[in-house]
Amino acid sequence: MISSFTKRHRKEKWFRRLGLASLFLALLFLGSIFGEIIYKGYPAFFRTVIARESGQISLLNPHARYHLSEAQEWIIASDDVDMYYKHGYVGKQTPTQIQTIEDLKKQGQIRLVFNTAFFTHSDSREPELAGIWGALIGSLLTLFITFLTAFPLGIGAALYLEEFASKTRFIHWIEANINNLAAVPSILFGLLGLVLFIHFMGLPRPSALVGGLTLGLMSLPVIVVTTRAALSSVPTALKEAALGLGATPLQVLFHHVLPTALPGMMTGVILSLARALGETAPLLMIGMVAFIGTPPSSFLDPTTVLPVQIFNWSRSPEMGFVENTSGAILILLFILVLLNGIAIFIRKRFES
Amino acid sequence: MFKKELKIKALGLFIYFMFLAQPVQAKLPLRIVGSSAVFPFAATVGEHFSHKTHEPIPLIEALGTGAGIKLFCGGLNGPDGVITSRPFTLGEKEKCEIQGIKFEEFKIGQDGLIFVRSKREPPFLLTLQDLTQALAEKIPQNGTCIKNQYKMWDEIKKSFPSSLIRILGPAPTSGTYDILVEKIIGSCGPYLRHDGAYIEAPANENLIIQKVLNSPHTIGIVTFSFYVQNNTRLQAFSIDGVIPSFASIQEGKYPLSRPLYLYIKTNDLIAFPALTAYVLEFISMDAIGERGYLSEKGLIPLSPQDQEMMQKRAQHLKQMEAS
Repeated sequence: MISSFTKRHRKEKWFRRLGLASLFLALLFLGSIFGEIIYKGYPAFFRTVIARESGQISLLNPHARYHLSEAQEWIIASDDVDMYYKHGYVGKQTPTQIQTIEDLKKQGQIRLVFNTAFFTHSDSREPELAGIWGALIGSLLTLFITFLTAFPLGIGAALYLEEFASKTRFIHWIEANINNLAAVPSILFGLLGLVLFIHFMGLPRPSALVGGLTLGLMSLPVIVVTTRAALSSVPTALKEAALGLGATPLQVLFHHVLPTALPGMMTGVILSLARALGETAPLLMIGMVAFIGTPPSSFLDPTTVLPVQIFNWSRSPEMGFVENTSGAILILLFILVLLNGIAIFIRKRFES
Repeated sequence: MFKKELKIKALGLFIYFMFLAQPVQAKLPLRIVGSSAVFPFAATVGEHFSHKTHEPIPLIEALGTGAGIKLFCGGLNGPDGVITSRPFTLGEKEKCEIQGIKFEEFKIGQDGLIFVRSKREPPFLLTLQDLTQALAEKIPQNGTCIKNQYKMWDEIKKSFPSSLIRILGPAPTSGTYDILVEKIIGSCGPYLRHDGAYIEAPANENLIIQKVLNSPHTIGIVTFSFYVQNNTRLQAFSIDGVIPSFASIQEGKYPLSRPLYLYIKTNDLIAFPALTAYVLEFISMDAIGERGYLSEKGLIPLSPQDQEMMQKRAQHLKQMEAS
């Protein structure tokens, strides 16, 4: 009897320990990933600049010669100088160039400043001049289109399926399909977008419109599923009470069901938009991998988005792009954390 | 009421963005597609071109040589130019002609395939034949083709180190793989090994470099521009006794080199003066000269004769545009 008791308790103890261990392991993984990204990425937020009066044109960035007439006291150095000043990488620089940099150091004509260009410039092939502005605008435009397509369609479909549709075989078939679609790999939506929007409808290729519509298709099933879950969690007693007091089904829906289900619905929408924001695969399928050096000014302009720019940078040979890549990942993570934070805030706000 | 007005305004703003903003927009940028090996150079030229002419920065897509040519020759409203790591084949030329597309070829420089490994490990001398023994799926022996059985380097030659053959290189979809097969695979079929000695890496050379640096006895195949940018950490193997360098590739001594090309559509040069300007920038001394900004990036300049020929060809374009 006693031995069985201790056995059962020992089992429980072990189970708890295992749970704790897996939690720590997960945290360790997450921590090491974040640690590496932050460690590699934070230098991207600082840039080496050289005083204009030093006259060392060969150490400046390759585009500096087009702006020499502008009155700037400090000019961004070339990526090689940047790498040497920050990390001590000699790269392909000659000993005389290294000596010049050391001399500049002694004279105080070279220093690190906060890298505003990283936020105000668009993509460039020069890592010291490349920034995320164009990609950020592209992401916003694309997300706007995604929202416009996925939100009304998704909510509408979910409302109909949950509240009005009679439970026929056809409706069951559609429900099963939507649930399956929510689990389909995102690259297939890229293929769908390629065929539907580019080949069939002939919309301009690397544009926010096509990207947004494709991501909209991708988010649609997820929004339908989460919205339906939120709607079905509304207590039946609430609906029946309203119906019993003489409200029409439409009134019940808009006065009682929707306000109660709203936090859940909003969370679903925001999370699926956050997923769309971080998505690369379907956009690669519809050709949004182009090098685009200017921010888009409309929905039909050539556009790139933040994750695709990260993908492009990670394939670039220059050492400077390694830290740029991690820097851009940090920005993307920050935006995603922000969106998730908003989702949590909305849920808490409406629940109380 | 107020809410409704706001909604209508928002809708109006949206429609404005989508349609009215279009005519206001400046000139459309040039569109260049093609090889990912030429992509960094084409984009760099694009930026300098934009600074000099105040035209918008061209849109450049790295789709791969084959896919790029397919788009270029697919129709008259396709891209304005295509960058390739090999010349057009006869079939591709024919396809372009059927569509009524006239084009001009520009050789813009050379590239080399470099076998690299970490600086920490001693190098050994490789020949093309050794590479065939190490990489081909089937190798000739006594007049017939047999499956490649070499596992260790010292099985190929006694002087080689006794470590596993592990080579990371491009996947079959890339133009680089085609060149590799063309240059080093012998008479026994155009395939590289599939038994783990050759590892296909996705089109990301930084990944290959990371792997080479982190795992011992691993050799990577990268293009010259990646080698140049990372030569503090990597060392290159000499092939047939030739060390890869600017000079040896330019002179054609290094066996694993290939030319890079830019093709442009010449159908409506008059309507697109920017295209001629872009080509002129691409083959200017400022770009592909010995100390040009592209050689900084790892493009190996053309020989002086080739360069002169390309200059003449571009001047001819300019005359076509004027007439």
